[in-house]
Amino acid sequence: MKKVYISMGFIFCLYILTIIIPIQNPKTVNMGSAFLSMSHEHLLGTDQFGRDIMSLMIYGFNRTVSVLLAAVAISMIFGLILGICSGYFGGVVEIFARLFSDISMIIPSFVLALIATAKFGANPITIGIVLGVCDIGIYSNQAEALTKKLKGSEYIQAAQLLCMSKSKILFRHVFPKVVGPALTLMGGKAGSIVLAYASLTFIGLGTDTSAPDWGTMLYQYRTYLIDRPILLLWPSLGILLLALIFYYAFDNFNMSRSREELLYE
Amino acid sequence: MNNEYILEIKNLHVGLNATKAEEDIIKGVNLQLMPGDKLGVVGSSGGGKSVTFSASMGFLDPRKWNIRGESIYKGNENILAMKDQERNDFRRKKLGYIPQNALNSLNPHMKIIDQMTDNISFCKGVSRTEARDTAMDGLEFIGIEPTESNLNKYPHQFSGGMRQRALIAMVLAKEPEILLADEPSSALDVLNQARSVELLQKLMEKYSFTMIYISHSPGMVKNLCNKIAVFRQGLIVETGDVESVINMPVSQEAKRLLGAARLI
Repeated sequence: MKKVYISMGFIFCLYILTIIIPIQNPKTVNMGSAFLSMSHEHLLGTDQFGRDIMSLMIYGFNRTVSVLLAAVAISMIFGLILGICSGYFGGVVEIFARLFSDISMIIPSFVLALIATAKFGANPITIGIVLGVCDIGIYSNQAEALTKKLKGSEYIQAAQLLCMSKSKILFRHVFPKVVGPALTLMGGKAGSIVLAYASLTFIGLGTDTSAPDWGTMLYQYRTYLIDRPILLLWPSLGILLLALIFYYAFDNFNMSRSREELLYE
Repeated sequence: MNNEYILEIKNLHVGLNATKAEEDIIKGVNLQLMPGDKLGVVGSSGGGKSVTFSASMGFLDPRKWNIRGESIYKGNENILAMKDQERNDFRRKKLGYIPQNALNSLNPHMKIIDQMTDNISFCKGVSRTEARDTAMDGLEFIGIEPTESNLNKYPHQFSGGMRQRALIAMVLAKEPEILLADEPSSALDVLNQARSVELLQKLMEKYSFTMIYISHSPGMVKNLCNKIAVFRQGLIVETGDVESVINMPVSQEAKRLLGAARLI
Protein backbone atom coordinates (compact mmCIF):
# COMPACT_ATOMS: atom_id res chain seq x y z
CA MET A 1 0.00 0.00 0.00
CA LYS A 2 2.90 2.33 0.70
CA LYS A 3 3.96 2.51 -2.92
CA VAL A 4 0.37 3.30 -3.93
CA TYR A 5 0.22 6.19 -1.50
CA ILE A 6 3.60 7.52 -2.62
CA SER A 7 2.90 7.17 -6.34
CA MET A 8 -0.62 8.53 -6.28
CA GLY A 9 0.43 11.25 -3.86
CA PHE A 10 3.15 12.25 -6.29
CA ILE A 11 0.72 12.35 -9.23
CA PHE A 12 -1.81 14.31 -7.18
CA CYS A 13 0.75 16.89 -6.02
CA LEU A 14 2.04 17.25 -9.55
CA TYR A 15 -1.51 17.72 -10.81
CA ILE A 16 -2.21 20.45 -8.26
CA LEU A 17 1.14 22.12 -8.90
CA THR A 18 0.58 22.16 -12.63
CA ILE A 19 -2.75 23.89 -12.09
CA ILE A 20 -1.23 26.48 -9.78
CA ILE A 21 2.02 27.16 -11.67
CA PRO A 22 1.53 29.86 -14.30
CA ILE A 23 2.26 28.48 -17.74
CA GLN A 24 2.44 30.03 -21.14
CA ASN A 25 -0.81 29.94 -23.06
CA PRO A 26 -0.39 27.04 -25.52
CA LYS A 27 -2.07 29.12 -28.22
CA THR A 28 0.66 31.77 -27.98
CA VAL A 29 2.85 31.68 -31.09
CA ASN A 30 6.19 33.47 -31.29
CA MET A 31 8.03 32.56 -34.49
CA GLY A 32 11.03 34.59 -33.34
CA SER A 33 11.59 32.11 -30.49
CA ALA A 34 11.29 28.93 -32.55
CA PHE A 35 13.56 25.97 -31.73
CA LEU A 36 15.25 27.58 -28.74
CA SER A 37 17.44 25.30 -26.64
CA MET A 38 16.82 24.50 -23.00
CA SER A 39 17.37 27.50 -20.77
CA HIS A 40 16.15 28.92 -17.50
CA GLU A 41 13.42 30.70 -19.41
CA HIS A 42 12.36 27.64 -21.43
CA LEU A 43 13.26 24.61 -19.37
CA LEU A 44 12.62 22.17 -22.21
CA GLY A 45 13.16 24.58 -25.08
CA THR A 46 10.63 25.73 -27.64
CA ASP A 47 9.03 24.14 -30.68
CA GLN A 48 8.60 25.20 -34.27
CA PHE A 49 6.00 27.81 -33.31
CA GLY A 50 8.09 29.25 -30.44
CA ARG A 51 5.77 27.67 -27.84
CA ASP A 52 7.34 26.72 -24.52
CA ILE A 53 7.54 22.93 -24.53
CA MET A 54 7.40 22.76 -20.72
CA SER A 55 4.05 24.56 -20.78
CA LEU A 56 2.79 22.20 -23.46
CA MET A 57 3.95 19.19 -21.42
CA ILE A 58 2.15 20.48 -18.32
CA TYR A 59 -0.98 21.15 -20.30
CA GLY A 60 -0.81 17.69 -21.84
CA PHE A 61 -0.21 16.11 -18.42
CA ASN A 62 -3.36 17.68 -16.99
CA ARG A 63 -5.47 16.58 -19.91
CA THR A 64 -4.00 13.07 -19.89
CA VAL A 65 -4.63 12.66 -16.16
CA SER A 66 -8.20 13.92 -16.66
CA VAL A 67 -8.73 11.31 -19.37
CA LEU A 68 -7.18 8.64 -17.16
CA LEU A 69 -9.38 9.51 -14.18
CA ALA A 70 -12.53 9.56 -16.27
CA ALA A 71 -11.69 6.29 -18.03
CA VAL A 72 -10.66 4.46 -14.87
CA ALA A 73 -13.63 5.72 -12.87
CA ILE A 74 -16.14 4.62 -15.51
CA SER A 75 -14.58 1.26 -16.26
CA MET A 76 -13.83 0.24 -12.67
CA ILE A 77 -17.05 1.40 -11.06
CA PHE A 78 -19.37 -0.04 -13.68
CA GLY A 79 -17.19 -3.08 -14.25
CA LEU A 80 -17.07 -3.99 -10.57
CA ILE A 81 -20.79 -3.46 -10.02
CA LEU A 82 -21.66 -5.50 -13.09
CA GLY A 83 -19.19 -8.26 -12.34
CA ILE A 84 -20.00 -8.62 -8.64
CA CYS A 85 -23.76 -8.69 -9.28
CA SER A 86 -23.32 -11.11 -12.14
CA GLY A 87 -21.11 -13.45 -10.12
CA TYR A 88 -23.24 -13.36 -6.98
CA PHE A 89 -26.78 -13.44 -8.34
CA GLY A 90 -26.27 -15.41 -11.53
CA GLY A 91 -29.28 -16.19 -13.69
CA VAL A 92 -30.76 -13.35 -15.73
CA VAL A 93 -28.40 -10.81 -14.13
CA GLU A 94 -25.43 -12.83 -15.29
CA ILE A 95 -26.79 -13.15 -18.82
CA PHE A 96 -27.32 -9.42 -19.24
CA ALA A 97 -24.07 -8.49 -17.54
CA ARG A 98 -22.10 -10.80 -19.80
CA LEU A 99 -23.87 -9.50 -22.87
CA PHE A 100 -22.99 -5.93 -21.94
CA SER A 101 -19.40 -6.86 -21.12
CA ASP A 102 -18.93 -8.67 -24.41
CA ILE A 103 -20.38 -5.79 -26.40
CA SER A 104 -18.17 -3.29 -24.61
CA MET A 105 -15.09 -5.33 -25.46
CA ILE A 106 -16.03 -6.00 -29.06
CA ILE A 107 -16.63 -2.40 -30.14
CA PRO A 108 -13.32 -0.84 -31.18
CA SER A 109 -12.52 2.19 -29.05
CA PHE A 110 -11.33 4.17 -32.06
CA VAL A 111 -14.68 3.85 -33.80
CA LEU A 112 -16.53 4.76 -30.63
CA ALA A 113 -14.19 7.72 -30.10
CA LEU A 114 -14.93 8.94 -33.63
CA ILE A 115 -18.67 8.75 -33.05
CA ALA A 116 -18.43 10.39 -29.62
CA THR A 117 -16.23 13.19 -30.91
CA ALA A 118 -18.58 13.85 -33.80
CA LYS A 119 -21.56 13.95 -31.48
CA PHE A 120 -20.22 15.63 -28.37
CA GLY A 121 -17.16 17.45 -29.56
CA ALA A 122 -13.48 16.88 -29.00
CA ASN A 123 -12.53 17.02 -25.32
CA PRO A 124 -10.63 14.82 -22.86
CA ILE A 125 -13.71 13.90 -20.82
CA THR A 126 -15.54 12.55 -23.88
CA ILE A 127 -12.53 10.45 -24.79
CA GLY A 128 -12.12 9.36 -21.19
CA ILE A 129 -15.72 8.14 -21.11
CA VAL A 130 -15.27 6.30 -24.39
CA LEU A 131 -12.11 4.56 -23.24
CA GLY A 132 -13.76 3.76 -19.92
CA VAL A 133 -16.83 2.20 -21.55
CA CYS A 134 -14.62 0.00 -23.73
CA ASP A 135 -12.82 -1.38 -20.65
CA ILE A 136 -15.91 -2.16 -18.54
CA GLY A 137 -15.97 -5.72 -19.81
CA ILE A 138 -12.45 -6.50 -18.65
CA TYR A 139 -13.15 -5.47 -15.06
CA SER A 140 -16.56 -7.09 -15.13
CA ASN A 141 -15.19 -10.47 -16.21
CA GLN A 142 -12.50 -10.43 -13.57
CA ALA A 143 -14.91 -9.36 -10.82
CA GLU A 144 -17.42 -12.03 -11.87
CA ALA A 145 -14.86 -14.82 -11.73
CA LEU A 146 -13.57 -13.72 -8.32
CA THR A 147 -17.07 -13.29 -6.92
CA LYS A 148 -18.11 -16.76 -8.04
CA LYS A 149 -15.05 -18.21 -6.34
CA LEU A 150 -15.74 -16.26 -3.14
CA LYS A 151 -19.41 -17.20 -3.16
CA GLY A 152 -18.38 -20.82 -2.59
CA SER A 153 -16.32 -19.89 0.47
CA GLU A 154 -17.56 -21.24 3.74
CA TYR A 155 -17.58 -17.89 5.44
CA ILE A 156 -19.83 -16.44 2.75
CA GLN A 157 -22.16 -19.42 3.14
CA ALA A 158 -22.09 -18.91 6.90
CA ALA A 159 -23.05 -15.26 6.43
CA GLN A 160 -25.91 -16.36 4.15
CA LEU A 161 -27.11 -18.83 6.77
CA LEU A 162 -27.04 -16.00 9.26
CA CYS A 163 -29.47 -14.29 6.85
CA MET A 164 -27.13 -11.36 6.47
CA SER A 165 -28.49 -9.09 3.78
CA LYS A 166 -27.06 -9.57 0.32
CA SER A 167 -25.87 -5.96 0.18
CA LYS A 168 -23.99 -6.40 3.45
CA ILE A 169 -22.38 -9.63 2.27
CA LEU A 170 -21.35 -8.02 -1.02
CA PHE A 171 -20.04 -4.86 0.60
CA ARG A 172 -18.32 -6.32 3.66
CA HIS A 173 -17.13 -9.69 2.43
CA VAL A 174 -16.97 -9.75 -1.36
CA PHE A 175 -16.04 -6.23 -2.43
CA PRO A 176 -12.82 -5.93 -0.36
CA LYS A 177 -11.45 -9.08 -1.98
CA VAL A 178 -12.47 -8.14 -5.51
CA VAL A 179 -11.29 -4.55 -5.56
CA GLY A 180 -7.60 -5.41 -4.97
CA PRO A 181 -7.12 -7.42 -8.18
CA ALA A 182 -9.21 -4.79 -10.00
CA LEU A 183 -6.75 -2.12 -8.92
CA THR A 184 -3.84 -4.26 -10.09
CA LEU A 185 -5.57 -4.58 -13.45
CA MET A 186 -6.13 -0.84 -13.43
CA GLY A 187 -2.43 -0.22 -12.91
CA GLY A 188 -1.64 -2.19 -16.01
CA LYS A 189 -4.52 -0.68 -17.98
CA ALA A 190 -3.59 2.89 -17.01
CA GLY A 191 -0.52 2.65 -19.20
CA SER A 192 -2.57 1.49 -22.15
CA ILE A 193 -5.14 4.25 -21.55
CA VAL A 194 -2.35 6.84 -21.65
CA LEU A 195 -1.10 5.27 -24.87
CA ALA A 196 -4.59 4.99 -26.32
CA TYR A 197 -5.27 8.65 -25.62
CA ALA A 198 -1.93 9.62 -27.13
CA SER A 199 -2.80 7.53 -30.19
CA LEU A 200 -6.20 9.15 -30.53
CA THR A 201 -4.74 12.63 -30.27
CA PHE A 202 -1.98 11.61 -32.68
CA ILE A 203 -4.60 11.02 -35.34
CA GLY A 204 -6.38 14.22 -34.37
CA LEU A 205 -9.20 12.98 -32.18
CA GLY A 206 -10.19 14.21 -28.75
CA THR A 207 -8.50 17.56 -28.66
CA ASP A 208 -8.11 20.98 -30.09
CA THR A 209 -4.86 20.85 -32.10
CA SER A 210 -3.94 24.36 -31.00
CA ALA A 211 -3.86 23.14 -27.42
CA PRO A 212 -1.94 19.95 -27.99
CA ASP A 213 -1.75 16.84 -25.89
CA TRP A 214 1.28 14.60 -25.81
CA GLY A 215 -0.01 12.58 -28.75
CA THR A 216 -0.62 15.71 -30.80
CA MET A 217 2.86 16.90 -29.93
CA LEU A 218 4.29 13.64 -31.24
CA TYR A 219 2.25 14.07 -34.40
CA GLN A 220 3.36 17.66 -34.91
CA TYR A 221 7.01 16.96 -34.13
CA ARG A 222 7.30 13.73 -36.17
CA THR A 223 8.73 15.64 -39.14
CA TYR A 224 11.66 16.73 -36.95
CA LEU A 225 12.62 13.18 -36.00
CA ILE A 226 15.99 13.45 -37.78
CA ASP A 227 16.79 17.16 -37.29
CA ARG A 228 15.53 17.76 -33.79
CA PRO A 229 14.74 14.40 -32.12
CA ILE A 230 14.73 16.03 -28.69
CA LEU A 231 11.33 17.52 -29.52
CA LEU A 232 9.87 14.02 -29.59
CA LEU A 233 11.75 12.95 -26.50
CA TRP A 234 9.69 15.00 -24.02
CA PRO A 235 6.18 13.81 -24.86
CA SER A 236 7.47 10.23 -25.26
CA LEU A 237 9.08 10.38 -21.82
CA GLY A 238 5.91 11.84 -20.37
CA ILE A 239 3.79 8.97 -21.72
CA LEU A 240 6.34 6.39 -20.59
CA LEU A 241 6.78 7.77 -17.08
CA LEU A 242 3.08 8.21 -16.38
CA ALA A 243 2.35 4.68 -17.55
CA LEU A 244 5.25 3.30 -15.51
CA ILE A 245 4.17 5.10 -12.32
CA PHE A 246 0.72 3.54 -12.47
CA TYR A 247 2.08 0.14 -13.32
CA TYR A 248 4.56 0.25 -10.46
CA ALA A 249 2.01 1.59 -7.97
CA PHE A 250 -0.60 -1.09 -8.55
CA ASP A 251 1.56 -4.05 -9.50
CA ASN A 252 0.46 -6.95 -7.28
CA PHE A 253 -1.74 -4.61 -5.30
CA ASN A 254 -3.11 -6.05 -2.12
CA MET A 255 -5.87 -4.51 -0.06
CA SER A 256 -4.51 -6.17 3.06
CA ARG A 257 -3.70 -3.37 5.39
CA SER A 258 -1.60 -5.30 7.80
CA ARG A 259 1.24 -7.73 7.80
CA GLU A 260 -0.89 -10.11 9.84
CA GLU A 261 -3.58 -10.28 7.19
CA LEU A 262 -0.94 -10.70 4.51
CA LEU A 263 0.36 -13.77 6.35
CA TYR A 264 -2.93 -15.48 5.57
CA GLU A 265 -2.43 -14.81 1.86
CA MET B 1 -50.85 -27.36 17.92
CA ASN B 2 -49.39 -27.26 21.38
CA ASN B 3 -48.36 -23.83 22.62
CA GLU B 4 -46.10 -25.30 25.31
CA TYR B 5 -43.50 -26.46 22.82
CA ILE B 6 -40.90 -24.11 21.46
CA LEU B 7 -40.44 -26.38 18.47
CA GLU B 8 -42.64 -29.18 17.22
CA ILE B 9 -41.64 -31.20 14.17
CA LYS B 10 -44.56 -33.11 12.70
CA ASN B 11 -44.28 -35.93 10.20
CA LEU B 12 -41.24 -34.44 8.46
CA HIS B 13 -40.30 -36.03 5.16
CA VAL B 14 -37.32 -34.77 3.17
CA GLY B 15 -36.11 -36.00 -0.17
CA LEU B 16 -34.26 -34.71 -3.17
CA ASN B 17 -36.71 -33.31 -5.65
CA ALA B 18 -35.86 -35.80 -8.35
CA THR B 19 -36.44 -38.84 -6.16
CA LYS B 20 -39.64 -40.68 -5.42
CA ALA B 21 -41.28 -40.54 -1.97
CA GLU B 22 -40.01 -44.00 -1.03
CA GLU B 23 -36.48 -42.73 -1.55
CA ASP B 24 -36.88 -39.92 1.00
CA ILE B 25 -33.86 -39.29 3.17
CA ILE B 26 -36.02 -38.34 6.16
CA LYS B 27 -38.99 -40.64 6.46
CA GLY B 28 -41.40 -39.13 8.93
CA VAL B 29 -39.72 -37.52 11.94
CA ASN B 30 -41.77 -36.32 14.89
CA LEU B 31 -40.19 -34.37 17.72
CA GLN B 32 -41.21 -31.91 20.44
CA LEU B 33 -38.96 -29.54 22.34
CA MET B 34 -39.90 -27.58 25.44
CA PRO B 35 -38.32 -24.16 26.08
CA GLY B 36 -34.94 -24.65 27.69
CA ASP B 37 -34.51 -28.24 26.50
CA LYS B 38 -31.05 -29.29 25.43
CA LEU B 39 -31.51 -32.05 22.88
CA GLY B 40 -28.55 -34.18 21.89
CA VAL B 41 -28.86 -35.79 18.48
CA VAL B 42 -26.73 -38.84 17.75
CA GLY B 43 -26.64 -41.50 15.09
CA SER B 44 -24.32 -42.99 12.52
CA SER B 45 -23.19 -40.92 9.55
CA GLY B 46 -25.89 -40.57 6.96
CA GLY B 47 -28.60 -41.16 9.51
CA GLY B 48 -30.36 -37.90 8.67
CA LYS B 49 -29.45 -35.84 11.71
CA SER B 50 -28.23 -32.69 9.93
CA VAL B 51 -30.81 -32.92 7.15
CA THR B 52 -33.70 -33.16 9.63
CA PHE B 53 -32.81 -30.04 11.55
CA SER B 54 -31.55 -28.09 8.55
CA ALA B 55 -34.90 -28.77 6.89
CA SER B 56 -36.94 -27.93 9.98
CA MET B 57 -35.13 -24.60 10.39
CA GLY B 58 -35.65 -23.71 6.75
CA PHE B 59 -32.00 -23.93 5.69
CA LEU B 60 -32.60 -26.28 2.79
CA ASP B 61 -33.37 -24.80 -0.60
CA PRO B 62 -36.96 -25.87 -1.49
CA ARG B 63 -36.00 -25.75 -5.16
CA LYS B 64 -33.55 -28.61 -4.61
CA TRP B 65 -35.27 -30.46 -1.77
CA ASN B 66 -38.74 -31.92 -1.42
CA ILE B 67 -39.78 -31.07 2.14
CA ARG B 68 -43.15 -32.17 3.52
CA GLY B 69 -44.46 -31.84 7.04
CA GLU B 70 -44.52 -29.10 9.63
CA SER B 71 -42.02 -27.40 11.85
CA ILE B 72 -44.04 -25.36 14.31
CA TYR B 73 -42.40 -22.60 16.32
CA LYS B 74 -44.10 -21.79 19.65
CA GLY B 75 -47.31 -23.42 18.55
CA ASN B 76 -48.04 -20.60 16.11
CA GLU B 77 -45.84 -20.44 13.10
CA ASN B 78 -44.94 -23.18 10.68
CA ILE B 79 -41.38 -22.39 9.66
CA LEU B 80 -41.75 -24.44 6.49
CA ALA B 81 -44.74 -22.42 5.38
CA MET B 82 -43.14 -19.03 5.97
CA LYS B 83 -42.35 -16.76 3.08
CA ASP B 84 -38.66 -16.13 2.35
CA GLN B 85 -38.41 -12.76 4.10
CA GLU B 86 -40.37 -14.00 7.11
CA ARG B 87 -38.14 -17.06 7.38
CA ASN B 88 -35.01 -14.92 7.07
CA ASP B 89 -36.26 -12.66 9.88
CA PHE B 90 -36.99 -15.70 12.03
CA ARG B 91 -33.56 -17.19 11.46
CA ARG B 92 -31.84 -13.88 12.05
CA LYS B 93 -33.66 -13.03 15.27
CA LYS B 94 -34.59 -16.33 16.86
CA LEU B 95 -32.10 -18.89 15.66
CA GLY B 96 -28.42 -19.36 16.34
CA TYR B 97 -26.57 -21.74 14.06
CA ILE B 98 -23.13 -23.22 14.46
CA PRO B 99 -22.41 -25.05 11.20
CA GLN B 100 -20.49 -28.23 10.76
CA ASN B 101 -17.28 -26.65 9.56
CA ALA B 102 -17.29 -23.81 12.03
CA LEU B 103 -13.55 -23.19 11.79
CA ASN B 104 -13.89 -21.86 8.25
CA SER B 105 -17.02 -19.85 8.94
CA LEU B 106 -15.07 -16.77 9.87
CA ASN B 107 -13.90 -14.41 7.15
CA PRO B 108 -10.11 -14.75 7.11
CA HIS B 109 -9.74 -11.17 5.87
CA MET B 110 -11.66 -9.48 8.67
CA LYS B 111 -10.61 -9.12 12.28
CA ILE B 112 -12.61 -11.30 14.63
CA ILE B 113 -13.81 -8.29 16.63
CA ASP B 114 -15.14 -6.66 13.44
CA GLN B 115 -16.99 -9.81 12.42
CA MET B 116 -18.53 -10.18 15.85
CA THR B 117 -19.54 -6.52 15.85
CA ASP B 118 -21.08 -6.84 12.39
CA ASN B 119 -23.08 -9.93 13.28
CA ILE B 120 -24.34 -8.65 16.62
CA SER B 121 -25.24 -5.26 15.18
CA PHE B 122 -27.08 -6.90 12.28
CA CYS B 123 -28.88 -9.58 14.27
CA LYS B 124 -29.89 -7.54 17.30
CA GLY B 125 -30.43 -4.30 15.41
CA VAL B 126 -28.22 -2.30 17.77
CA SER B 127 -25.63 0.38 17.03
CA ARG B 128 -22.11 -0.65 16.14
CA THR B 129 -20.79 0.89 19.38
CA GLU B 130 -23.14 -1.18 21.49
CA ALA B 131 -22.43 -4.25 19.34
CA ARG B 132 -18.69 -3.77 19.76
CA ASP B 133 -19.04 -3.57 23.55
CA THR B 134 -21.08 -6.78 23.50
CA ALA B 135 -18.49 -8.40 21.25
CA MET B 136 -15.66 -7.43 23.59
CA ASP B 137 -17.59 -8.87 26.54
CA GLY B 138 -18.06 -12.02 24.49
CA LEU B 139 -14.35 -12.29 23.75
CA GLU B 140 -13.48 -11.80 27.40
CA PHE B 141 -16.02 -14.45 28.34
CA ILE B 142 -14.31 -17.02 26.15
CA GLY B 143 -10.90 -16.19 27.58
CA ILE B 144 -9.57 -13.73 25.00
CA GLU B 145 -8.49 -10.56 26.78
CA PRO B 146 -9.81 -7.52 24.88
CA THR B 147 -6.35 -5.97 24.52
CA GLU B 148 -5.37 -3.85 21.53
CA SER B 149 -3.24 -6.68 20.21
CA ASN B 150 -6.01 -9.29 20.44
CA LEU B 151 -8.63 -6.99 19.00
CA ASN B 152 -6.54 -6.51 15.89
CA LYS B 153 -6.09 -10.22 15.28
CA TYR B 154 -7.42 -12.14 12.31
CA PRO B 155 -8.99 -15.60 12.58
CA HIS B 156 -5.89 -17.41 11.34
CA GLN B 157 -3.93 -15.92 14.23
CA PHE B 158 -6.03 -17.88 16.69
CA SER B 159 -5.95 -21.63 17.23
CA GLY B 160 -8.79 -23.79 15.91
CA GLY B 161 -10.24 -24.11 19.38
CA MET B 162 -10.17 -20.36 19.97
CA ARG B 163 -11.84 -19.73 16.62
CA GLN B 164 -14.60 -22.15 17.45
CA ARG B 165 -15.15 -20.63 20.86
CA ALA B 166 -15.18 -17.16 19.25
CA LEU B 167 -17.84 -18.40 16.83
CA ILE B 168 -19.92 -19.86 19.66
CA ALA B 169 -19.63 -16.59 21.62
CA MET B 170 -20.56 -14.64 18.48
CA VAL B 171 -23.64 -16.75 17.81
CA LEU B 172 -24.85 -16.65 21.40
CA ALA B 173 -24.20 -12.94 21.85
CA LYS B 174 -27.25 -12.31 19.71
CA GLU B 175 -29.27 -14.27 22.33
CA PRO B 176 -31.12 -16.69 20.09
CA GLU B 177 -34.08 -18.65 21.35
CA ILE B 178 -32.98 -21.82 19.60
CA LEU B 179 -29.36 -22.82 19.05
CA LEU B 180 -28.65 -25.44 16.42
CA ALA B 181 -25.10 -26.76 16.70
CA ASP B 182 -24.24 -29.20 13.93
CA GLU B 183 -21.24 -31.27 15.03
CA PRO B 184 -19.38 -28.10 16.03
CA SER B 185 -16.47 -29.89 17.65
CA SER B 186 -15.85 -32.66 15.15
CA ALA B 187 -12.69 -31.00 13.80
CA LEU B 188 -11.17 -30.34 17.22
CA ASP B 189 -8.81 -32.35 19.37
CA VAL B 190 -10.06 -33.79 22.65
CA LEU B 191 -8.70 -30.94 24.77
CA ASN B 192 -10.43 -28.31 22.68
CA GLN B 193 -13.60 -30.37 22.61
CA ALA B 194 -13.57 -30.29 26.40
CA ARG B 195 -13.04 -26.53 26.37
CA SER B 196 -15.97 -26.11 23.98
CA VAL B 197 -18.18 -28.16 26.26
CA GLU B 198 -17.07 -26.06 29.22
CA LEU B 199 -17.85 -22.88 27.33
CA LEU B 200 -21.28 -24.06 26.29
CA GLN B 201 -22.04 -25.00 29.88
CA LYS B 202 -21.03 -21.53 31.04
CA LEU B 203 -23.12 -19.95 28.29
CA MET B 204 -26.14 -22.06 29.24
CA GLU B 205 -25.95 -20.51 32.71
CA LYS B 206 -25.63 -17.01 31.26
CA TYR B 207 -28.23 -17.20 28.50
CA SER B 208 -31.52 -19.00 28.32
CA PHE B 209 -31.95 -20.92 25.08
CA THR B 210 -33.15 -24.21 23.67
CA MET B 211 -30.37 -26.22 22.08
CA ILE B 212 -30.20 -28.92 19.44
CA TYR B 213 -26.71 -30.40 19.58
CA ILE B 214 -25.83 -32.80 16.79
CA SER B 215 -22.82 -34.90 17.61
CA HIS B 216 -21.05 -38.14 16.96
CA SER B 217 -20.02 -38.27 20.59
CA PRO B 218 -22.55 -39.58 23.13
CA GLY B 219 -20.12 -38.41 25.82
CA MET B 220 -20.42 -34.77 24.77
CA VAL B 221 -24.19 -35.12 24.53
CA LYS B 222 -24.28 -36.51 28.06
CA ASN B 223 -22.33 -33.50 29.36
CA LEU B 224 -24.45 -30.90 27.62
CA CYS B 225 -27.96 -32.20 27.12
CA ASN B 226 -30.96 -33.31 29.11
CA LYS B 227 -32.66 -35.15 26.22
CA ILE B 228 -31.37 -37.35 23.44
CA ALA B 229 -32.66 -38.52 20.07
CA VAL B 230 -31.04 -41.42 18.23
CA PHE B 231 -31.30 -41.38 14.44
CA ARG B 232 -31.01 -44.22 11.98
CA GLN B 233 -31.75 -44.11 8.26
CA GLY B 234 -33.91 -41.02 8.41
CA LEU B 235 -35.96 -41.92 11.45
CA ILE B 236 -35.73 -41.39 15.21
CA VAL B 237 -35.33 -44.87 16.66
CA GLU B 238 -35.09 -43.85 20.30
CA THR B 239 -35.66 -40.71 22.31
CA GLY B 240 -35.89 -39.76 25.95
CA ASP B 241 -33.91 -38.45 28.90
CA VAL B 242 -30.21 -38.56 28.22
CA GLU B 243 -29.39 -40.50 31.37
CA SER B 244 -31.94 -43.25 30.78
CA VAL B 245 -31.11 -43.70 27.08
CA ILE B 246 -27.37 -43.74 27.63
CA ASN B 247 -27.51 -46.05 30.66
CA MET B 248 -30.24 -48.32 29.35
CA PRO B 249 -30.56 -48.08 25.56
CA VAL B 250 -33.44 -49.97 24.06
CA SER B 251 -32.94 -49.71 20.30
CA GLN B 252 -30.23 -51.64 18.45
CA GLU B 253 -28.81 -48.43 16.99
CA ALA B 254 -28.45 -46.83 20.42
CA LYS B 255 -26.80 -49.97 21.81
CA ARG B 256 -24.44 -50.09 18.86
CA LEU B 257 -23.45 -46.42 19.16
CA LEU B 258 -22.98 -46.46 22.90
CA GLY B 259 -21.06 -49.73 22.70
CA ALA B 260 -18.72 -48.22 20.14
CA ALA B 261 -18.33 -45.04 22.22
CA ARG B 262 -17.32 -47.07 25.28
CA LEU B 263 -14.79 -48.96 23.16
CA ILE B 264 -13.09 -45.71 22.18
